Amino acid sequence: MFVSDEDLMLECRKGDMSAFELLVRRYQDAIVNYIHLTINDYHRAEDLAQETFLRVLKSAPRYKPKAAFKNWLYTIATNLSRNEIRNRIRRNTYLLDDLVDDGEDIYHSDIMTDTRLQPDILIEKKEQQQLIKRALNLLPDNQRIALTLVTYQELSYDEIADILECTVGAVKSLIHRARQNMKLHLIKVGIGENVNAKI
Amino acid sequence: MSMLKSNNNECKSIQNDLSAYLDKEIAPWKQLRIQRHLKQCSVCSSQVNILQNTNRTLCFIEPIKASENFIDAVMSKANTQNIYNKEKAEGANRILNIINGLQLWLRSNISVSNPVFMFSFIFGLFIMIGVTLYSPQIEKLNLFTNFNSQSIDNSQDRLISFEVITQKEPKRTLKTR
Ligand SMILES: [Zn+2]
Repeated sequence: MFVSDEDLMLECRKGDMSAFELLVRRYQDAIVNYIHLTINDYHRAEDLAQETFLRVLKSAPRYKPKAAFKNWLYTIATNLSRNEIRNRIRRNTYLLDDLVDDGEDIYHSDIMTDTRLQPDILIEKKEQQQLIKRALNLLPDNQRIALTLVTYQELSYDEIADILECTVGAVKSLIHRARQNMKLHLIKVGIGENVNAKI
Repeated sequence: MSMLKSNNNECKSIQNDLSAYLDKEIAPWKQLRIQRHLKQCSVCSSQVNILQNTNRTLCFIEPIKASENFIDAVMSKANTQNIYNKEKAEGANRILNIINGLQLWLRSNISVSNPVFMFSFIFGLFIMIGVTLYSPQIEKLNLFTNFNSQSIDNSQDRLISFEVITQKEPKRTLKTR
């Protein structure tokens, strides 16, 4: 029997830790993936994803069943990602572009365990992915966040507007500008339009 | 010429909606209008192709997974957090219990309908409000006047010292002569 996120959250509010565990199980990959794409640092993404779930638990007593759990979860994750980016800029220790991780993150995806692929194709895939991530990181934060939410998390404009606390119209133009900029950044990092032929 | 201009305007409005069109985030009537336009306009249809290609390229990024010990790590942190929260809740409960006990004691020992009690209660309340409202302001006033008088005093000091110097100098010149 399928129990909705909202019902699990109500159980969680009563102190049922198994309901909480089920929620973590449902969303762990999505949240790690989302934060990873917005801050581009795999290890930090794991930490922040853990922090996201702990904050969910902490504010469970204040959760109102009217609000969609998923939007609320992504709002917390987005705020943590934004803080991380802001702190990084403040500390000035490293720029986002330099942070494109050394490709270690790809070992946490399915393609590395796909035995049907030849090693040289794997390397090429890995390199392509790093370049696309580099291009994605050249986008302004809000555009990258909106594009990530629609492309990789497959959320609707309504949901994204709820998460980013803006209008649907603003989301629409944010995503459109993000795609237009993305095209230019892909050319800048050397991918252009022939990526389809390459892979 | 006017035809071309209106066409350009239409292209502009269509192109602004192309991303939403690809995401199927557009009203059905607009969807149809765009489809019709794309069949006729090569500029806009090439724009759609570019956006679609960009999207396809983005989808080459493989989704990553949380590490195997992710749930264990979250749950162990969550349990310690929960214990801490429970302790805090217990503390709050203890205070609430004390307040409840006090209320019960008041209710059982003093009857609210007693006029003597009501009078002394209201009188006490007025005095408390009076003390909290007026005493800090009096202090503030005192501080303020003290500060003002101090500053005036300081300026007078300066003036005096200035006068002393100006009075001394002519005397010296007299001496040297
Ligand atoms: Zn057109």
